[in-house]
Amino acid sequence: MDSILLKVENLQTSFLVKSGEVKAANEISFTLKKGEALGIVGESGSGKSVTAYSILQILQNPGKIVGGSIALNGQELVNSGESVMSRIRGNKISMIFQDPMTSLNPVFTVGNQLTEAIMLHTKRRKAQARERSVELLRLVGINEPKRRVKQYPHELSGGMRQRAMIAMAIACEPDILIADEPTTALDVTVQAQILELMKSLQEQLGMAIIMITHDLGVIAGMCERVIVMYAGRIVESGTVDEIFYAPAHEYTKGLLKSIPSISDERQRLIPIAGSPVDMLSLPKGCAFAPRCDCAMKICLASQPAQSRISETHSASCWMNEKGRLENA
Amino acid sequence: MDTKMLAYIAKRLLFSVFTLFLIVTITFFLMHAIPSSPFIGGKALTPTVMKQLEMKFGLDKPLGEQYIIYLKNTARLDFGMSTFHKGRKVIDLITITFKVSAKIGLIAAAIALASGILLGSLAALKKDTIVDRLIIVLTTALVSLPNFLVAIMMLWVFSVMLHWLPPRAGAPGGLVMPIVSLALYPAAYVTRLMRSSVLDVLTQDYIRTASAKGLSTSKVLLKHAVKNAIIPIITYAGPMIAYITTGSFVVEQIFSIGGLGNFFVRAIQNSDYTMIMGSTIYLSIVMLSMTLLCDILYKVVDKRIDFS
Amino acid sequence: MENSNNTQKATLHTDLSMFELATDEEKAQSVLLRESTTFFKDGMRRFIGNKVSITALIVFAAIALIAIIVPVFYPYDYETTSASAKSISSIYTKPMEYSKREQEAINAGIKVFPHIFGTDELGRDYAARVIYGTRISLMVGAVAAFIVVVIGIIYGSISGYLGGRADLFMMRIVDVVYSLPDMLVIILLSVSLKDIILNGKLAGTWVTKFGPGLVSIFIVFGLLYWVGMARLVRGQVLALKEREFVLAARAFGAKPMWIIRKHMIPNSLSVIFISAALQVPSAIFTESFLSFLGLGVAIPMPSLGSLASSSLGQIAARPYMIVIPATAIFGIILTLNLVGNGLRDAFDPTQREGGR
Repeated sequence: MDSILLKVENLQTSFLVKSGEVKAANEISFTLKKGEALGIVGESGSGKSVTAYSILQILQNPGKIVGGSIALNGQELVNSGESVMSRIRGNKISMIFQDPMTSLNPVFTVGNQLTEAIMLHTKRRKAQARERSVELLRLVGINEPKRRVKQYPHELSGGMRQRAMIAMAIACEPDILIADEPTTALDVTVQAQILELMKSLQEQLGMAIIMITHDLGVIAGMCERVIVMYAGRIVESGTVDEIFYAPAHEYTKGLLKSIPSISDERQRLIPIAGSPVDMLSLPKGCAFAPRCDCAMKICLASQPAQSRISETHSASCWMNEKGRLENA
Repeated sequence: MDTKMLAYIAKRLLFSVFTLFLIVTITFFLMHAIPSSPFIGGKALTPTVMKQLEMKFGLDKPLGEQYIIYLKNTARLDFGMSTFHKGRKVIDLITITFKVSAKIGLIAAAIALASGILLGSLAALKKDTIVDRLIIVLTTALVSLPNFLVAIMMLWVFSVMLHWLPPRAGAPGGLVMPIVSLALYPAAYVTRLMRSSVLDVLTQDYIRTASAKGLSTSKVLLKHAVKNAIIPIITYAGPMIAYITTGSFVVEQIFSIGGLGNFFVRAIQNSDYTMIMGSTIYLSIVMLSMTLLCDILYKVVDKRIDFS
Repeated sequence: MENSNNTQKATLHTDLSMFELATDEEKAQSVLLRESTTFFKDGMRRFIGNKVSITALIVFAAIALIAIIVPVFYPYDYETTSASAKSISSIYTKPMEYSKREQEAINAGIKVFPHIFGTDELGRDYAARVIYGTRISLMVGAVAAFIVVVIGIIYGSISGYLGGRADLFMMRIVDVVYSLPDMLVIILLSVSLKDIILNGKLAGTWVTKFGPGLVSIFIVFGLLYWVGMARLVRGQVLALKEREFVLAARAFGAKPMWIIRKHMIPNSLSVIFISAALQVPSAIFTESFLSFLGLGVAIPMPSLGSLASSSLGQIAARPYMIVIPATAIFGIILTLNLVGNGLRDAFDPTQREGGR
C-alpha cells in the first residue's frame, strides 16, 4: 500500500528510573495514511505524548525507545542516527506543543525562530526566509505579520503564539503534523479558532495530522480515526463513528460517559472511578481492570488479546472475548 | 510597560539610597562609640588633627548636629583628612588606590565570568560524564578554599619553589597570581551556577520545540540553551564584583598591591578611623551601584522571560 | 497486534469461571502497592547511598574528634613555650626536634614528648596550636550556625505566621539587612567592637579573655546572617500554613504558638537543617578571613586563620607552618560543604543545585 505514510510497529518506549522501568509506551502499533487525521486520546500519563515524542525521537532523558519500528515512507527511523532525524524533524514531520506560552524561546524574536526553521531545511537565504516568515504568519491568520516577526513571544497573546508555532511547524510543508494537546492551554473561544485553522491548513497542504488530546470533542471535530490509550497501551482503535457509537472497551465507554453532550442534556455525567495507575507497578492483567465496573477474574489475571471487531475497529478487552465465547 | 520599568528602577534606586544612608549612619554611631576614635579624643592624636576634626565635625556641638554635619560632608564625599597619612585627604587616597583595585578586580571578574560560563555549559552538556564529574570535583574544592589560602599556596608553589612568578605585584608578571587568586572562587561559583542553569533550561519546552524543528543537538545548545542560561548569572555578577573588591583586602596585602583593599586593611591596623569610615562608605557605594545596575539589567532582560 | 508477548489468546481451553465478575477485594489486591517509605527513611537511604558525602562525614568526624579529644591528654598546650625563658633568638624548632632545654632534659634521662609539627617563633608546640585552632574554628562554626538558626526561626516563623502588613514590614527589614555589603559591615563591626572591648567598659571581663574578635564575629552573625534563614523559614511557614492539617488544628481551636511548634517547625526542619549545615562552613570561612586580618581571636589564642597569617613570613623557610593550618581550613570547609550538599540532595530534591 503506497498510501501508507507512517507505520509504527510494536513501539516500546521506556523510562529507566532508579526505582524501575516505566513502560510509557507499550507495544504501540498503528499506521497513518497520507492526508489523514488520526486522533490519539487518553488521560494524562497514558503514553500518548511519549508516543509522539518517540516518533520524532525527542524524548527527554531517561526516556528511550527500547524496541519496535517506526517507518516513514518505508524508511526506518528507529536507530537511524541523529543526522537522519535532524532532516526529518521540522521538515517531513513537525510538531506543535501544548503550551504556546513556554514553547517559544523567550529571548529570540518570532521572526528569528521562524527563519531558523526555514533556513535549516530549505536553501532559502536570510532575506528570502524573512519574506517566507511574513507569508507564513499571514497564512496562519496573524494580523500585521510584518510587525509581528520583529516581536518577542511575550508581546503576543496565547492564541497568537500558538498560531506562530503552527506557522513554524508548517514552514517546510511537512507530510505529518503532530499536535500535542494544541488547544488545552488556550481559552475556549481561541481553541475553536486554532482547530479551524489546523483543519483548513490540512486541506490546503494535504498533510496528515496526528492529534493528541484528552478531549474527545476535539477528536470528533477533527479526526477520521481514533486510537484510545491507557497506561501506555492502545486499548482500542477505530473510526470516529465506531469509537463514538460502538465503543468496544470499557475504558472508552467510561470516557464517553464522562464528557458532556450538547444533544442530550438529560444525560448525567459519570466520571470514571479511581485514579490512574501507578506506571511503576502495573497490574499483571488489564491495567484498567481495578477501575473497571465489569472487571472479571480473568481481567486481573492476564492481558486481554486484541480482538478485531471490524476491518477498521479493534479493541483489547476480555468482555469482547466473553461475548464471543457466549455466542459460540 | 516602560512606566512600569521606570517605577521599578526608581524603587530600587530609592532602596539603595536608603541602604547607603543606613550604612553611613551605622558608621557614624559606631565611630562615636569607639573609645579611641578621634571623635572621643583618644590617644595619639596630634593637636592639629584634633583641631581640624573639631572644625570639620564640630566636635564641641551636640551629637545630633555633628551627625547632620557628617551627613552633609558624606554627601559631598568629603571624609576629611587621614589621621595616619598626614596631610592627605581621605577621598584622594581612596580614588588613587581604588583605580588599582578596580583594574585587577575587573580583569579577575571578566576571567571568572568567561571561564565559569564556558566550564558550566560544558559540564551541563557532558552531564554525568567524566568531564562533568571532574568539573564538579574541581569547583567543589575551589568554593571551599578561601582566596587568601589560594594566594598563599600560589605564592609558595610558583614563587618560592618554582621561581616562575614574582612574589610582588610590581614586578613583570606580578599581577598573574593576584588576579588568579581573586578569580578562582567566583569562577568556580559561576561554573556551578551556569551548570544548573543550563540543565534547567534544557528541560524547558522551547528546547523541545527547537529540537522538533530539526536543529542539531549542538545548535540547540549553543543557540537556544546557553543564551537563556546566562540570564540568571547577571544577578550574581553584581555581588561577585563586589566580592572581588572585598576579597582583595587580603590578596592585595599578600602581594603588596597598593590598592584600596590594602589601604583599608592598613587603616584598620593603624586605627586610621577617618580612612576606615571613608573607605567603608565608598566601597558600599560601589557595591550597591553594581548590584543595582545588575538588578536593573536583569529586569530588562527578564521582561521577556516573565510570562505572568 | 501480532506477537504480543504478554497476551494470552482466549482459546477454547480458557476456563469459563475466569469470566465471572471480580470482587472489589480482588481488584484491590491486583494493584501491587509499592513499599511505602517515610520521607525521613527515604532521605536517609539516599544520603547513605551517597559515597562522597559519607566519606566527607567520616573525615569531618575524625577532624572534630581530634580537635575535641586530643587536647585532653596532649602534653603541650597552645600558650606555654618549651624554650628556656631567657633565650631570644632561633626559637623555632623543626618538626620532631627539641629545644635546647628539652635536649638537656633528654640527656638527663627524662622522657620528652616530641613536637610533631615543631614549635613556633615563641617556642610553642605548633601541633597543639593547630589542634586548638581547629577547635576554635569548629566552635565558631557551630555557635554561628546556632545563632543564625535560632534568630532565623523565631523571626521567620513569626513573620510568616502573622502575614499581612506585619509580614511585609518584617520582610522589608530583612531586605535592608540583606543588601548590606556583609564583609564591609563585618570588618567595621569587628574593628569597632574590638576597640570598644579593649579600651572600654568591657575591658577585663570574660569578653576580653574570649577574644573581642570572636565575640564580634558572633554579634555580626547575629546581626547579619540570620536573614537568609529567616526568609527560608518564612517561606516554609507560608507554604505549610495553607496545608490541611494546620487548618484542621485551627478548627480544633489550637493556639497559634502550638500550631507553629507542633506542626510547622517539624515539617520545615529538614530544609532548615540543610541550610544550617551549609552555614557552618561559611562561618568558618569568615572567621579564618577575619583572623587573617588580625580581627579574629585574641592573642595568644590560635585560630586556623591567624596561624596561616602569622606564618606568612615563614613561607620560604618553613612552608609546612602555612600548609598545615591551610589544609585544616580547607579540609573542614570542604567536608562540611560535601555533607551539606549530600543532605540537600537527599532530603530536598527541589533545591538541588544542578543535580549530580
